[in-house]
Amino acid sequence: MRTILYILFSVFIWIKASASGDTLNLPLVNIFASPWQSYTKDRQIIRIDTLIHLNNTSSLKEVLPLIGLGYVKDYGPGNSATLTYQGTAPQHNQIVWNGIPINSSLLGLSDLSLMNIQSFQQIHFIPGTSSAYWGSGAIGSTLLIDNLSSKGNSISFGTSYNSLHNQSYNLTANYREKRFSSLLSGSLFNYLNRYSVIDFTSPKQEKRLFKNPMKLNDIQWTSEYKLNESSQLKLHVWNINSDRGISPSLTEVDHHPRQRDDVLRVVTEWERSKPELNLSLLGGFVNERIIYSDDAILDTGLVKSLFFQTNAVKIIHKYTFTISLQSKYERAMNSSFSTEHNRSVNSLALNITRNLALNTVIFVNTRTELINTNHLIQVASLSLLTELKKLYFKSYFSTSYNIPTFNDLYWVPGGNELLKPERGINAGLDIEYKKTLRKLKNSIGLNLFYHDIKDWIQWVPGSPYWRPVNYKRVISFGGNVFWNFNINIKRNQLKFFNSLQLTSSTNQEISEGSGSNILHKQLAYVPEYSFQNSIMYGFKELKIAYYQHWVGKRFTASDESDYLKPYFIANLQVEYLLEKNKLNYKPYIAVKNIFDASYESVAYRPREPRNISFGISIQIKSKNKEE
Amino acid sequence: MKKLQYLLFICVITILACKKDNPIPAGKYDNGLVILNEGTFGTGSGTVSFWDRDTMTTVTDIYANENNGAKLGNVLQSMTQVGDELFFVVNNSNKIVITDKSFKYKSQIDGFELPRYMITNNGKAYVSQWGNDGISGSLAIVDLNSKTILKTIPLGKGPENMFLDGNTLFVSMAGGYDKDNRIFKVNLNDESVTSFVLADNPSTMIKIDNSYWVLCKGYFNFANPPASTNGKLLKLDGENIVKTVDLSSQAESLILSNDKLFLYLLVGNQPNKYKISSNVLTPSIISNIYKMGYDAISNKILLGDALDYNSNGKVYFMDDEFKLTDTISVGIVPTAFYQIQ
Repeated sequence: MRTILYILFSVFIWIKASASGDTLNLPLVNIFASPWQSYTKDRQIIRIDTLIHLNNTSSLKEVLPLIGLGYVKDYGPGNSATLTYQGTAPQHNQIVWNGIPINSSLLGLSDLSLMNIQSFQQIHFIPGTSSAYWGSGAIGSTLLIDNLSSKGNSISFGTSYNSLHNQSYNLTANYREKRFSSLLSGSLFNYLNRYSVIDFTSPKQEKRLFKNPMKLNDIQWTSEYKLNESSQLKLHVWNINSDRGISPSLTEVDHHPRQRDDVLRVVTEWERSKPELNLSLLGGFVNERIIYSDDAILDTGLVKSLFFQTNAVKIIHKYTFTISLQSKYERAMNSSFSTEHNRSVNSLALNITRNLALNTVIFVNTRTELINTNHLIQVASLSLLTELKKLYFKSYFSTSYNIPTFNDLYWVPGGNELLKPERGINAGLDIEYKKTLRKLKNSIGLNLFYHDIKDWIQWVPGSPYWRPVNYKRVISFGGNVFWNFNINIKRNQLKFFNSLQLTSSTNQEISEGSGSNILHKQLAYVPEYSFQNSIMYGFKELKIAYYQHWVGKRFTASDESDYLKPYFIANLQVEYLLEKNKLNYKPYIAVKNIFDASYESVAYRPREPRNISFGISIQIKSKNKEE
Repeated sequence: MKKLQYLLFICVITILACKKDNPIPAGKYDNGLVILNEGTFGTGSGTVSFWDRDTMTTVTDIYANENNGAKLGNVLQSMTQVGDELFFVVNNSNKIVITDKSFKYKSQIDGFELPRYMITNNGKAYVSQWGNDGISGSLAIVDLNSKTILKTIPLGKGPENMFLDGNTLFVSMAGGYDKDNRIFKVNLNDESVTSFVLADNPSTMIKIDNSYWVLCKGYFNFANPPASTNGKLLKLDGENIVKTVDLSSQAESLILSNDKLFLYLLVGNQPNKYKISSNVLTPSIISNIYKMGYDAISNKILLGDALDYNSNGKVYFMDDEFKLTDTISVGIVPTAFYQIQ
């Protein structure tokens, strides 16, 4: 109660002080050639790669729920997995790789099972809406995954084995000289995903064996070349080839349709950082092919996209201006389309930042987007960031949008070219209190969100086929409470992370049909409650991490008539770093689902039982020439 | 003391007796409608709802209730009663689940390939099935004693409903994942097969007096919708078409009224009534109906509404003029309606 009173009092003081007109400039707005870093200062940014202490072999689909960043609708190992956050759908959570949004233009979402965290040097998570900057789909969250260039010269090799009969190999080469640096990383995942579970759908309750083979090759190459002290060139290449057997559900007979994903992504960027004007030019290319085959169905989707982006950041007096011109051209073909389709999307994003009174910064963002030549979309956001001693407030009010996918528009039959973009009104408030007591660093906070999404696109039954329509209005609101603390005593390190999420996401209106039974009902696969705890203990070169994660019931029927039971899982991982001359050895062992919980993320698709991984990475280093 | 011991003895015996038998009232599900629900396509499981005529109440998922939460599988297609046993045909699970009349699991037959419907004759069951690719249809012949598949007879695309007339089994080829236009005749004496051609995707056959009536669903061409064909209602004399009723869209479900004066069918998900004597087809004002059935006891037309296909559906009870008399809530995607004998 005292804390609440203190917060209310602080807010009151802040409002009063803001009105007084006193001005105190904060060194909060630094400028970067890549403007998102300054732009996203008005948001809570979670640096995921520092929260994941030891998950050497995890993909993003495993990691995000463990640290409270959404619910992953996971069809099981080797199968697709998509993120929902703050009560939104997977297509409302954008993933951005080295500056370009990579959600599939055919499906509108990204498959997290193809994203191994080892492949990225930096991962940021921005809760809430960033549509005014990242554009379509950035409503519930934006996940920024980046490759960074090498910091030294080294070669490292890693291998791991998992009791589900999964093996992985990784080879990374880092090279750096005075002007040039490069990082080349290749990973090979050869997964059988073999495990047995009790078939609770059968009256005999006997065990059923699942085998979901997956082969995944992942190659990433990042290079930087310093042209001079203020400018540099960057190149990022990402190639993925996967071939996987899609697991059946418990209610289906044991058959294995296959899916192949072939993806090539390339980004080149020129950056210039000067006090008077920072500039960056970015060009990108994505070629994405998905082939799905079943006994009776063969479906091929192909998307080619070109990106161009120009960003400029300029400080004038107390204002920071960021202008971003973004162009995207996409061509898509699917075996269910009658012909090839293309789309051009041109956008102008403008950000103005100004320091105000009492350690407060205001951010105004606008985005105007022209789709082909006929759809004009305008969104804007207003944000405030303020710091009162150890108390931080970040708040935003925004509008947002999500444009229809190619499948929504052109699928035969049913594709609806008259679909409007989904539109949202969004707001968020983050409050964080940070305090350091000697060697104890404390951080406690609260994030609140509100999303009102209209014209939500949904495929609905019709005669004689289903079709997508701007079907409903969904309102989501809720919050996240977190408490982190770190203690460092000599060479002992202890980290705690705790968070609790409450999410309400309900259908408020429907545009057609007899769907009154789903009004005011929680969206399917959006848990109302979940919480996470993690503890990491480090002593010298030994690290032990324990994660536990509880997810409440998730409705599987849109009228709340059926649901999945809550589940609780815990993981433990231990690693040790051994350094000898220029060699580093890091063996590790991990136990996932320690308590062998039976659980499902999607109905009748049982998740992995307790499984053990072990592996080692070996790094050969040479001294950095710059050193 | 002796009296007390005697009482205790009686109590123990009573408790033990209750534990062992736990009898289910005979005919628990006899007086009402059994409604099959397909379940959510792909990830869901079929369920069985029961509507009690006496209490006018509905119980959902009675199979799970009677079998400690077990599920029938995906997608529940049809049910056939053979004596005191119920045979549930589960499409994507490639199996037939056998229960007693109280829906207690007894056994199952595996090894089918997308089974659809089952009909029995002389200790054998005949199961229409689409084939795993949805276009290599066949007829599986099952020995009802051993509950094993004896053989399969290759047929056309999408064998669907069957009609038994004497020793001849008529199997309609509804196209499966493609299209067909034939009805196969299987001579059950020697299992020889012949076929004759009708219109696109025949699905259901009914015999009225000496004539057959066949509903041909029509064909929806997903790759090229304008090339689709509408359904037809055909009257046959033997294998010859003697009357054709052209329908305005693809069609589904063919039901004969108790008095054999009317046929009811879905045309473009809209219930229609066809007066046989005057050859008049009258559409109702109701739309978006998934499947249709008929309750021969109350003479009510049953309309299954799947709503959004991901929430509990509804069944509308209609009189013969399509006036609503009752509505009940059932499981996800109601598809078929039965009265247990």
